[in-house]
Amino acid sequence: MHELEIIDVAKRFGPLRVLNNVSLKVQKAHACVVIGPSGCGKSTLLRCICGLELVDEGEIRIGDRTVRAARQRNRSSYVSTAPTSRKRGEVGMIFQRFNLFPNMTVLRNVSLAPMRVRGLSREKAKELAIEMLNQVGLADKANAYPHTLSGGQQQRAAIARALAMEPRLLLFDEVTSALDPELVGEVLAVMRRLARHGMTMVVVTHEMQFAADVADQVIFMDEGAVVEEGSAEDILRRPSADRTRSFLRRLLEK
Amino acid sequence: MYSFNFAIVIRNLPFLMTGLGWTIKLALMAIAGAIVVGLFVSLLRLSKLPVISQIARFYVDFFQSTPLLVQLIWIYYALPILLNISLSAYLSAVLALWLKQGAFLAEIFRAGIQSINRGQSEAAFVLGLTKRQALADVILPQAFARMLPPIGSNLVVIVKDSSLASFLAVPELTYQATVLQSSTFRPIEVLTVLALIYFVVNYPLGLVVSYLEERVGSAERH
Repeated sequence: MHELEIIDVAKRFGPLRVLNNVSLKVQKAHACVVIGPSGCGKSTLLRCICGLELVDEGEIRIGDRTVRAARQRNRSSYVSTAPTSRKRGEVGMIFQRFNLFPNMTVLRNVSLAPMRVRGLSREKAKELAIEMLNQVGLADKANAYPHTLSGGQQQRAAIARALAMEPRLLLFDEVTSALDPELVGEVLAVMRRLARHGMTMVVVTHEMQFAADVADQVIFMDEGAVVEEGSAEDILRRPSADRTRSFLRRLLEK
Repeated sequence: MYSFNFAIVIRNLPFLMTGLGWTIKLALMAIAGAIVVGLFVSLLRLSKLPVISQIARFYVDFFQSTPLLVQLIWIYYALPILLNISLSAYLSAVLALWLKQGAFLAEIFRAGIQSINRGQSEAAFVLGLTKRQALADVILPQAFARMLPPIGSNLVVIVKDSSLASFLAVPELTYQATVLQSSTFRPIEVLTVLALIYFVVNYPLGLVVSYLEERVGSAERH
């Protein structure tokens, strides 16, 4: 049984088919990297997995539970055995623009959801938050406000915030694309560590070196469909599809 | 050339000032209630259910477009006849202000809440926060800073609008002034002093709001 299964998912925005029969299986503790040109649907795929978008067709399963399914009449619903918001925290999402809450300290950013959603006491939540911040190397910034942190620090704080909900799956949506180049490394380092420690993750990125080093599985998407899928070696070194080849060539030319 | 006689007004200042107590009482009650109404209606406006959103929208449009004076008179004279509800002049004025200013504040709150970028509510969503939790902990605190300027100007408007209660003989400032002007036959002087008193009340209010804007807004500007 795979940790994440995406089965024939389709998504439309009006007349535009953004996802076209996408299927994907990710094993537990694996890192799946998704590459592809802009507009190919990779962000939308992540958003469907965590519930920010509803699927029009198909099914998404996490572990042994179907979490998203399209019913008849094309209306989608969040199907879950425990209908509480708790379940949402199981799939963590890290955004390109961090989306930290600017009106509270980093510590509170990280401890808020554990308190509100998981019902932890203030003390326990604080302990948990500090531990998470330690993991991403930001323990000394606990009482700082997000706007005083660099981009790399903010993104690491965002990762700590997602980790505090003890997710079984982490989604990364081009998390280094909005960062200055010299700050990218510190975020990727945290992600590498997470992967090494067995976090199941789906990472949308343009960082090919990261993909080569960390990915157990790489998929190339284009125009809403999975074009090719395989190991990092296969896709990055020996792509079989023309589109994959031309995409990689364009990327490396930059 | 008209000969001003402010002395007579100054002599009667205490009489005028008893009205100030009523004006402040009226304004404070009106502000408190209007904020509650405004918050409630703005949340209805933001509801996912089109029916609820439309009803709220109609409420806002109706109370924004009809004159306060008409609403005031209607509540005081028509409500007893139609629904057997008899409110005192003071309460009628308070209710009218709640409904009207509530409508204006509802739009301010709604715009403030919607101006918070979507990423914030998305991040709250994926963490598992309920809508209510997201509003209370994330959205409203941020929206508050942005809404302060328009809320501040609404407060000044409420103080000024309270003068309409004079129409129903609520003994606030303006009513006291109308009484005074008929007994002194000095409408120009009385009304000038009246305007000055309102200015003295509202101007500092405006300054306090500006000060708060500075303090709260500075965290926003990053």
